[in-house]
Amino acid sequence: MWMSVLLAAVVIGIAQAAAVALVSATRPGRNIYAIVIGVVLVMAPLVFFAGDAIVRTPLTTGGRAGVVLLHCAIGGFLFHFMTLPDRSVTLRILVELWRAPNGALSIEALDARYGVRGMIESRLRQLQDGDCLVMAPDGALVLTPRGERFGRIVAAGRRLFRIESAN
Amino acid sequence: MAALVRLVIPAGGTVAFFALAWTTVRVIRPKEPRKFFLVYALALLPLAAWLSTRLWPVVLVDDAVLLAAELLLQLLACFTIWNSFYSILWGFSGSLMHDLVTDPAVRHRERLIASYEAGEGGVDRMMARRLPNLVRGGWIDYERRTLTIRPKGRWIAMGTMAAYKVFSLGMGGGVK
Repeated sequence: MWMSVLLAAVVIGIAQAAAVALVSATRPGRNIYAIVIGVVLVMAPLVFFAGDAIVRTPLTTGGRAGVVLLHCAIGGFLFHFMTLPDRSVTLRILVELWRAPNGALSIEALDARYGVRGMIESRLRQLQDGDCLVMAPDGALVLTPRGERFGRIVAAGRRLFRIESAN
Repeated sequence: MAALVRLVIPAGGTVAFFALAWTTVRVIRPKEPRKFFLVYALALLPLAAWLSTRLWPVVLVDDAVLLAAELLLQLLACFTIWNSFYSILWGFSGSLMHDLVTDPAVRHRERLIASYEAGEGGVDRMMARRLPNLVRGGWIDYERRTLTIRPKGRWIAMGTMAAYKVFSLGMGGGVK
């Protein structure tokens, strides 16, 4: 019984990852998180109706709902997994070192490949695309109401956890 | 509908995880909160499983599927809190927005960049927090301003590179 459930979870995970990889390959540059959510939502009814086949046992409606919940949870982990390669500064540093001759770089050489200036400029563009701020031609940064809310949420969260410095 | 009632167990587990994480970070103030988060997330699973099987004994495969879904959802919710803690409160974009909201003096691209370029120990703020963790974790060596990847770091880099390619993420690292 438990082996069937475990196999079902593995099948769902592989199917989701394959679908996300396929969609992101055909739509390069699209938001990977939107793709993950879209894939999970589109697959949910399919998972419900194919529940018996996925678990390889006849299921009640409650059991099928359980398979859909399992599918959503696995999709949530896939979503979180994407934040690692997509957003992590630490992992990108490791990749740059791995790609470098002899696996070594000076601080200056690493900065030229993946430095704080390029990083901040890119993040500011993304925050502008996300309607959090507006960058004026002279470099002035004006927060939008959404950006104000985001910044205040981060500040409140840091106060809540007593985080004094982070970047 | 009866299946959804069971979500009360992971909801309770998530609240307990948040309370434990919050208390730990505020009171103990550990250097690496993630170790505590991992212990709490894993320790709450058998508790949730025990409580759930007391209320809804596992008789059919349906029950096993629902129990597995409950536990996975609880783990996901705990991990969401964990990831939000690191990605939003400690992450780069969250930090930028925090600085922009709390310090009007850096509301200019060049001044903001300058505030990050001024780090500690001859490295910028972005590197200053990450280098010690990478060295302490055995991922890299850092000597005479040169970073060298270690075998452990090489495996992670290869896996990350594979993820970049499989999911068409470009070069990742938060740069678009």
